[in-house]
Amino acid sequence: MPSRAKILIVDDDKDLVVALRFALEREGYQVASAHDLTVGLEAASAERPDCIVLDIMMPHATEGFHFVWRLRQQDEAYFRNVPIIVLSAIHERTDLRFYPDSSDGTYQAGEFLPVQDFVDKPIDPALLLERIDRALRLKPPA
Amino acid sequence: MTHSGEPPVSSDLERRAVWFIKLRWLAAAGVATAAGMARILGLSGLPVGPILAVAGSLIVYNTVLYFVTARLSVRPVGRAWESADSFARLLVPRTFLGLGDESRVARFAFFAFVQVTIDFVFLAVLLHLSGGVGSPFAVFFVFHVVIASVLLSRRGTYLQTTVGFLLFAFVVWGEYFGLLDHHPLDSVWPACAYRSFSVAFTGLVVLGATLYLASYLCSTVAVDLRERVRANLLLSREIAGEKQKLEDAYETLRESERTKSQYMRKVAHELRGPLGTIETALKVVLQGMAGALDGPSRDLIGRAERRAGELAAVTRDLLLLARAREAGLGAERVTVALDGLLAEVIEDLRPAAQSKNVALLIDAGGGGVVLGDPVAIRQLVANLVENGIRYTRPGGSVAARLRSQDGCVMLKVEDTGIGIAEEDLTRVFDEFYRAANAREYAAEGTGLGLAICKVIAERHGGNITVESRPGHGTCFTVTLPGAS
Repeated sequence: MPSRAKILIVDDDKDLVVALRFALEREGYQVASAHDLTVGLEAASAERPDCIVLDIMMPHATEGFHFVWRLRQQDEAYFRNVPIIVLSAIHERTDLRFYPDSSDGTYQAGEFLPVQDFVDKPIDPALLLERIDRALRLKPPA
Repeated sequence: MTHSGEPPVSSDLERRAVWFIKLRWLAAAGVATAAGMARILGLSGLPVGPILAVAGSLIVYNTVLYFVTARLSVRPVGRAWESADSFARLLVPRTFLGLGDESRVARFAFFAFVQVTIDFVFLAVLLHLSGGVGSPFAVFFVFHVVIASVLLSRRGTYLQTTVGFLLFAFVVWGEYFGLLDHHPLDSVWPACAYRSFSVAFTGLVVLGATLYLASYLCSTVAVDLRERVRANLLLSREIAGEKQKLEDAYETLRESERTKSQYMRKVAHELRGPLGTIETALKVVLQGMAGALDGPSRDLIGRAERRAGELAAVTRDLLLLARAREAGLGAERVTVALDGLLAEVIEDLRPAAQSKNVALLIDAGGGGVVLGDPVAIRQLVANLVENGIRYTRPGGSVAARLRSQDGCVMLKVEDTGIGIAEEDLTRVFDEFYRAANAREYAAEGTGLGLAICKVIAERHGGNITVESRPGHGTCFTVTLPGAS
């Protein structure tokens, strides 16, 4: 079943997307990608991926955060439940703390980010595969 | 030239001018009392009415002065003052010149001169009404000379003395030549004394000598004292100037430190993205996810991946260092319980320690709560424990102990590792510094970990120290102010 799962990578680093695509496709995943928030939201609607791998620091610093909230705000249950793995140096145990800061006022430091997992950059592809596998297994039935 | 925070030079004169007016109320009261007492004392010759009139005029005059003083701070305009101003400057004590505020000082000096002159006129009238050359009020001329020497320049004091002396002489000679009436104190007083040339002459000489001598003595002391006041004032201005320069220099230093740190952060941040991608791409290749890899290619890619990892570690630590530096600049602080934090760090690092067969011991019983940035403090604790594990041989141990005492929280991280040579002890907190034995023992290590610890400890108002015995172990002690 995971071999046919579709993964959406939302990251503005095209080289990283290429590298991750090799790793994911080798495991049999279907891979879609988007380089910013808008394209990412469109791709999520159109492709309905089973899991989203998301970068936070896209062109507009904290674009990844906005992506999460805009996605989760949609009514359909799919958007509230699709697992998101954030690619960022957030440490799970510490509260959300980002650099640069939260001065744009759209979120508060320490506010809960409704995602399933974090994988620190630089990304170890083996670790990412393991986390994607786990997220898909833990995913509530549609 | 203005010197904020320092009273103007004229304030000294202003204060004395007010004091002078207060003294005059006493003088007026004294004159009125003397007139009242004249009958009781049997001074039958004393003209009580005119003397009371003098006391009354003195009160009116002093009231006028009281209001004029309040207005003296306002700069007068007009031709009259312009000519008075150049004269007034002669009256200003030399030590008050060149300190700024000169026109105001000159106004107060001129005002003092006018006051003393009018006082002399009052005194001369009183002298005339109380027996002329033989009047006991003659000694009061000396008081005014003393006051003049305090307020005026030496030239001004002599001028003022001369004014007083001439008025005294006018009364004495006026009575001697019969131009003025004589008012004997009483019938017993030698009524003819004022008519005696030798009495009049002696009286004049004695009073003149007294006045000029008093004016010389007092102005000498006054000049000396004023010189010291001036020296103090100049010194305090110099110190204020130096202090300002130091503050400016410190601010420039802080600013450049901030710029350096922001620059460092920006550069590290820019390097981090591409480096992370290089590392990931190399790992994808190395793990065979992009196709099979033969021996030599695998070896080279492996080397490249390892070096990219080293570079990534340096940029990560540079970023941490920059963040730690900037954390002191207005980061929000929360209470951090160190016992829980230490336990978490130890658990996080236990796998690494176990894989190296290094025992991790924790004694967090001493508790301790500090106020600070929890991410930074965790970094500090983790760096120290990680360091301990890295430089301890298999079979050794790393012990972390927490103690609270005297309002401070102390964390000791002690290992049984390779130790630090004495000559390296002072430099281990320097950026990019790695002791020779550390480089030999462990290839990895950015040389930034302890620099980060030091910055974090200091940014939290604490410090970090190290003791070591080469070959036996090292102990780092972090002291942070406890949260009250």
